[in-house]
Amino acid sequence: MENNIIIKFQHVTKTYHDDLVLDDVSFELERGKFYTLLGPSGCGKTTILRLIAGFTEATKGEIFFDGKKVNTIPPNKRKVNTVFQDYALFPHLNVFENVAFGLRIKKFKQKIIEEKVKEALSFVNLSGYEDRDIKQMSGGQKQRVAIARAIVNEPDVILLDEPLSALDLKLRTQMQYELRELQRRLGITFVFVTHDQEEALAMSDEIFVINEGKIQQRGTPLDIYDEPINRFVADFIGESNIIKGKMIEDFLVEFVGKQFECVDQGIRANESVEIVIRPEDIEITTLEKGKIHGHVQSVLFRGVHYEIVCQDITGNEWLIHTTKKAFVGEEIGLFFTPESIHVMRLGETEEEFDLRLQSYSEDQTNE
Amino acid sequence: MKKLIRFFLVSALVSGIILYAISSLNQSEGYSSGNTLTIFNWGDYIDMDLVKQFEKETGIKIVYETFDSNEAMMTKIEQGGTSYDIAVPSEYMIDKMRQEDLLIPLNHNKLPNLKYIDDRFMDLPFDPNNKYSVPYFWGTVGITYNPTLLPNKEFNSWHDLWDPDLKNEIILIDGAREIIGMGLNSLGYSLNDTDPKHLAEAYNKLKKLTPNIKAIVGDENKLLMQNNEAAVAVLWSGDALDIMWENEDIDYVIPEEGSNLWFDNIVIPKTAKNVEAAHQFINFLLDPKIAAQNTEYVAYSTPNKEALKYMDPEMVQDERFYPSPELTDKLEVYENLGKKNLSIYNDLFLEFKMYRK
Amino acid sequence: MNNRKMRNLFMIPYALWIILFVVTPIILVAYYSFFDIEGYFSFANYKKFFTPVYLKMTLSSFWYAFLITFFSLIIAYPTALFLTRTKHKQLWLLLIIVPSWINLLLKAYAFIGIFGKYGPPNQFLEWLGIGTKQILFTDFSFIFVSVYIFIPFMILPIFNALNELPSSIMDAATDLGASKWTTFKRVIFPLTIDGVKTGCQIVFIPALSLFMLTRLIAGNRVITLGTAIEQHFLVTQDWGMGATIAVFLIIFMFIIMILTGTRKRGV
Ligand SMILES: Nc1ncnc2c1ncn2[C@@H]1O[C@H](COP(=O)(O)OP(=O)(O)OP(=O)(O)O)[C@@H](O)[C@H]1O
Ligand SMILES: [Mg+2]
Repeated sequence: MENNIIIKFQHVTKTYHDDLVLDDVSFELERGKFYTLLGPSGCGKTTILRLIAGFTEATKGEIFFDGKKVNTIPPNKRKVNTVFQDYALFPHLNVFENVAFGLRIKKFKQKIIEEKVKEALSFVNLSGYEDRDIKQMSGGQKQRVAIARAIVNEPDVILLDEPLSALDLKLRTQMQYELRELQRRLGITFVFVTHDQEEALAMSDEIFVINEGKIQQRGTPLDIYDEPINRFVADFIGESNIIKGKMIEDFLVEFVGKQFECVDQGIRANESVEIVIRPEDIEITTLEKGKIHGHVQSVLFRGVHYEIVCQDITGNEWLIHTTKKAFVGEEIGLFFTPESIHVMRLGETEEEFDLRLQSYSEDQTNE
Repeated sequence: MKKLIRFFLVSALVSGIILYAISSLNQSEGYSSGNTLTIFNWGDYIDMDLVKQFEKETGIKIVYETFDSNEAMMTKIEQGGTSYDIAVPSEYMIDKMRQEDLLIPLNHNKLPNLKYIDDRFMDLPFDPNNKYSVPYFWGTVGITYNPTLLPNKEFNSWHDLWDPDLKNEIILIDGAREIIGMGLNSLGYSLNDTDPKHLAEAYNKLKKLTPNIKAIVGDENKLLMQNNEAAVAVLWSGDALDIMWENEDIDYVIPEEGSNLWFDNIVIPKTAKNVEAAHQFINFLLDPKIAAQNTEYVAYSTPNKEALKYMDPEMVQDERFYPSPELTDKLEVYENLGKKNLSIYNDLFLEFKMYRK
Repeated sequence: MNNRKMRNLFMIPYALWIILFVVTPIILVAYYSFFDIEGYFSFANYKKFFTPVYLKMTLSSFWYAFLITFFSLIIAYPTALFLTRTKHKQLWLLLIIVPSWINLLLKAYAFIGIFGKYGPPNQFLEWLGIGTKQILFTDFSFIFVSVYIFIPFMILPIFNALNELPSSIMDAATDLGASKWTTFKRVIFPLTIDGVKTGCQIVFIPALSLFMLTRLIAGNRVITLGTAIEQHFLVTQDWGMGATIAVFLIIFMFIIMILTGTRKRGV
């Protein structure tokens, strides 16, 4: 198992002139997986990439590459290649020479270089563009050149820093698909940075949600979507209804002045908690069938669904995504299943969270 | 953008204020008014006490302006912006100014004191019969040297410059006539010689001087000599005097083979508005006692024979600045050689400057 | 249509300027070059230019201009590179540019004092026991002072070119395995070559026609085409020959501009 790990961060801290940018970050990346670093602007995503690539040194902590400590190894000696946020293509070289740059430095024979560049370009669907000037390429094409320039070196890890942020929605969706495809075909580790949660959910094997220099939560897209550890993650990963509540006992939680059945356990009785219910997990129904009543305040047509905002009697606002239509001013019933209720403890760390989930699943298997 | 506009506005405003100040100052100095006399002279080339004396005696107000090269002076007179009544060009300039019709003939009847000028300095080739000019001061071209830097070296002849011990020590004036003239003089030819054979000889002789030459410079020669930067210089006696003023170690000699005799002369340029007062002033300066006082101040050699009687005898007997009659006979005034010959001189000089050992 | 009219309107000051201060002087210079010293129309000046004196002068002008440009470049490039890496680069740049605002004559006089017999370098040599050397009025002092004077004009375009390089491009090169030197050779230098060319033009062309310094610092032991023009116009009043040399200088400048001209890439 251990040798399947390509990159390891151990208690890595990074400060810029007393400015704490990364705060005691530890993680492991496995070979051949697609990782996404997700977080708001300035949270330290690029910094993590720069530490992996070797453009900056960690202030504290250790970084391992393939089991070897690489804290002070310069970037040109690491088997990592980066696709930069602004592509950083060489404007004085044509497409072919851009892609061949790394190979020329490694002094490959011209024939081999030609073969490899051709292969890399066909990988990114740019065959025939060899002689084009960089200035003549579109944004999406440039991005693909940047990817080709990275993969042609056959690195162990490719780092991609928000490579899609400059593209329009359609091209972007297409590129997301192509990138994921490419990663599967190459079978090498991708570390992908974005602050777009949908992109992260769509592409990744595993997501790292980062905020203020700390990893808030890591896991598969489904894990993170379904079991956000705290308000930040819940908020960042999709829109959510987050309401204050109180744990009565295992599998019973109270909010909006009522008690509801839930699937969470291992929390002290009467502990204050926060409840997350995803907008698409709430159904509109009649007043009788509804677990909560709400007064409709706005209705927006979003194409696939309606986005409805209503207010309950205690003043909480509820966001609902539904295909059913409602009318402003109407009283409606809101229905959700126990599985839709996610209970979050205040200030729970990732480790504590994992422990609790573990004990919970053990309990379940024991039963 | 705002800053830029402000910058332009402020600079325009400042220029406007300065312009206004200048024009009002000019007016208050009475450039254009009544009985004034505007003099255009080299810097520090007259005893200002005499100027005041003249103003007092005649009631004429004097405006005094200075220039630092003949060319600059001529340009300003050509432009005619200021009405100069008196100017003091060097002798080679007089020919040019006359050709450009920039001079007003002198009325000798109004200059009775002209009789005090030594006959030797009257009616010279650059101004026959002194039609336009009166000699003001004169001098020579010679060797300035610093005995403290060169003990046991004596300079009497141009040949002394070719001494191999003087490697890299000599500074020459940046003037074709002076240097080619020196070459001709050193060979015993006239410095007005235009015989191509003689010129070629002079050029070849000068080429041999190259190892000894430190630099060929303009006005900087004074600075270099004063600061002991160089030991020997070929220059005008006027510059030599200035240098000796600053550095008492330095000495000057007129080479025995002969050399150039130069003059600064008083003229009335075409711009004159007060020709009457100009004559009055010239005559005033020609008065022996006045000339003596002026000479003691300026310290250049005066052409006023009568003035010598009123001067410090030590000054009059200094052979460096009042050479003996035998030596004076060997001094020559530059003749106008014509443009063609002048250009031959210039080309030779240029070639000489480019020559490297 | 209207737009084009507007553009033509804006062109008027520029066109006037060019006609008055560029075209007219060139035509005048060319015109004067056909008159000999006595004012007769002739090709004598051109014939004279092709004599050994003037050819030698041309050659030496080019040689000194080349040396000045070369030394300026090898000092300016690392300086500019260093400047772009410093924290307060604009401040440092200003410090380098400020001396170029000082009058040239003043600087030349300062160097006469510095390089003189009693200047600091000679005192240092004396202290070392080597003894006083002739520094002023040598090729060394001439090139040194010229380089000193021209260096800001070389640094500025190179600095601007370097400053415009995104740091990610350098990172990309290192990322692809390039060492510092390779990054410089393959990426930084090629991408700033236009700045280098501009700098060389700005230095080489005036260096070709330097005067004043040739007298003050080189003691007229260096004679460039510029010196000769100055002499002909101011001292010997041989405007025809001066103009002829100027005509050749203009021709040389055009050739240099064409040779080092930046071809537009793309489009
Ligand atoms: N060279 C630097 N010097 C000082 N502070 C820096 C430097 N580089 C980054 N920082 C700071 O570190 C923090 C994290 O920066 P980083 O570039 O990693 O953010 P990011 O997550 O990539 O943001 P974005 O999504 O906007 O690219 C920011 O607050 C930034 O200001
Ligand atoms: Mg970033």
